[in-house]
Amino acid sequence: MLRSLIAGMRALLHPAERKAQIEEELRSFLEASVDDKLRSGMSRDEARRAAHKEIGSREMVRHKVWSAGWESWVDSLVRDLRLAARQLRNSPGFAVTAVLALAIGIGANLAVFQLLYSAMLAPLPVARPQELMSVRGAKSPYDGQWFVSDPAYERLRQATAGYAPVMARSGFGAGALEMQGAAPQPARYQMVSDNFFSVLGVKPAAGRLLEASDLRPGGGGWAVVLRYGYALRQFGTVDVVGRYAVLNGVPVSIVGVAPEGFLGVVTGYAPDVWLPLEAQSTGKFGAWFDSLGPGHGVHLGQPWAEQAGIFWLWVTARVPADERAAAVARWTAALQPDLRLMAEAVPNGQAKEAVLHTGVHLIAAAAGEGQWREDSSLPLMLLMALAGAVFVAGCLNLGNLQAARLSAREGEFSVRMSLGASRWQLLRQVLTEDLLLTVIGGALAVVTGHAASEVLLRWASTRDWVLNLDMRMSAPVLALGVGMMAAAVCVFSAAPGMAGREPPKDCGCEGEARVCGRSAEREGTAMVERDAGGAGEPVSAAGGDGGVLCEDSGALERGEYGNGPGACAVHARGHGAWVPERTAESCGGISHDGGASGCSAGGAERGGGDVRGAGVRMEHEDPCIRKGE
Amino acid sequence: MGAESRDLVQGTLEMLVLKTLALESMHGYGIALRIEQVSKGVFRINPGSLLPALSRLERSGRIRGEWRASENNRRARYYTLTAAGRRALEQECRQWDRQVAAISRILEA
Repeated sequence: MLRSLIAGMRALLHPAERKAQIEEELRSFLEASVDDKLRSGMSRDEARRAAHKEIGSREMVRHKVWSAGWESWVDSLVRDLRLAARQLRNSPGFAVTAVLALAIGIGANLAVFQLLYSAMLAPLPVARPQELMSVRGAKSPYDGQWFVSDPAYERLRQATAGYAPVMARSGFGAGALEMQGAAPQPARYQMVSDNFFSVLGVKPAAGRLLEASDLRPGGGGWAVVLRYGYALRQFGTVDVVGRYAVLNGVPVSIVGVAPEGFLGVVTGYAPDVWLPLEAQSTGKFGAWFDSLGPGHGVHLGQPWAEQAGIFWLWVTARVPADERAAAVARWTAALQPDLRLMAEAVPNGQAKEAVLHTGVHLIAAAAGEGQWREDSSLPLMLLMALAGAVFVAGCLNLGNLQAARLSAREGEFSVRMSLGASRWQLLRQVLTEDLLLTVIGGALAVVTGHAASEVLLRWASTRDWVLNLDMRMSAPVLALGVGMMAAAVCVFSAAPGMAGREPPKDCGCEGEARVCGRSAEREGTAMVERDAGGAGEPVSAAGGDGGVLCEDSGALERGEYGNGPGACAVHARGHGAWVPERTAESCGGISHDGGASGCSAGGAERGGGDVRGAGVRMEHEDPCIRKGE
Repeated sequence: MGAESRDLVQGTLEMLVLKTLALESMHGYGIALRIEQVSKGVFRINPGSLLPALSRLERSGRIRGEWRASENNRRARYYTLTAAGRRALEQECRQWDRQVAAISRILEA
């Protein structure tokens, strides 16, 4: 296995060397055969002739030996790709249309799916995200948010300490971060509990994350953690740990940088700076809050930590599935004082009763939390459906275009089938062309899709807040791209209806030449060939005024009508006598890039075609046409 | 091609090559000639079949090829059976015997 792999790789990397080996082996075989025949009393000429006859087509033998290795598959693929590229180059209009249609069709889907995936489906880049649950009790009395007060959060945290850690976060605030000697830079901040990062199970990119010791300011001020992208953007590096700064006029110390890709737990909204909840006590950091209002002991100017009437924290817990029921019961019990307090702001009646009897419920937070995520789900789904429809319509149109194009190439396929190409070979060629188009279109789609998803994100952002999602290419997005490319190839290739194609029934046709040939593998098919060595038996071709034979497969290999070694073609046109001088010209008609050098009139006198009007027909009985072994 | 087929039974070429090489190292033409002679002309191996078979056998490690001077002082690639080739030959021979015996029993039944 390994030996075969190495030998194949070597043959692929040094094809000339491998071909020379095959050629040498074949020559050695021929010489041994000639020697043997000389010993048996033949003349040298007879011996050579007999040996050549015995070997048959040397090109075919070369091809068979080459095909014995796995590398011939790779070689065929490359050959198919080259042919496909040539075909597409010859139809630039079709190629450009198809590539653009695919780039737009797949790109639009990738763009929307990237957004949909990042916003709705991608799990948070944290440990065991499926255990994260948003803890919700009653909505705050005026703003209707799932806020709790700081004392309520502490009770929730204590209720399940040990088996279901609870963390809290505030809303976002806008501030300015000022480094020593530098102008203040805008910075969005979020206050979080000291266990925010540890509950999430996030590891820092640099320094450390917040911990219990950060409940109070240290020597350099309040400990803060920067978002990776923010640190890079502001400082060009994440190596900023230990630096001091001033945030909203409060001294802070950068203790660490969150890992790349970690944007917090609120989908779309990533703070630049995380700082402890306790920093609110400085009075310099505001955040969205709700309260019972005047008359309930609410003092906004004083620290919120001790005030049960100010609701400003969202609570998230890490709770294993089998602990959820017990945890919910304990949290519901722990929240009773707060529910009673909240009920004070609700008029007597059914609504008050509802608040008083509220139970805690959990919402999965594995893929993030936040209002934007909930609000954007339907629009994103609709956009996705629209993009899907664009893709399907594009594919169907391309399928039709392809069908029309293949219909126009009927003649080419007929020629190839006459040359001995199997239906599978033709289908493979079409598939390769489609695959090539799709890969180019797909690659373009990845680029345009990524750019478009960024544009969509900007479009969905508000002036105040640019949405921030992790838009890096992910496996599901890649899988969708590949899946769509595969679907495009299927639609592309299903359209042609290759199955219905039949080889031409008659070799001759009115006023124009026909081709007779073979592929190396097909047995019993007429073949026109002359060995490259020159010493071999020249074989046949004939007819019309343009009969021609090709020296080896090279001309056709490079030509438009075939790509298999051993194949050759005769092309004749018009009426009249055999004109050897014109053979090169005729062969040049077949050979796309000057394969006329591979043509020879040498076999004309031996040629056995019968001339029927303008057509040429090679018969199996022809002495110069060998049957496959 | 005559009325009687000179085609090998499918899948037996490699076994015959291994068997031929079990006696001594040979070059490609020598192998073809030996098979033709031993089979009394029944089997004639075309290089289009033989050379790919030799290539496959060499890659699978059953034979080893090296360029040497032939009896006529020409450069020729000589093939030698390897230990793996000998084992493969024994196995293929056993399998062949079983198949031939089974076919004979069917034909005689």
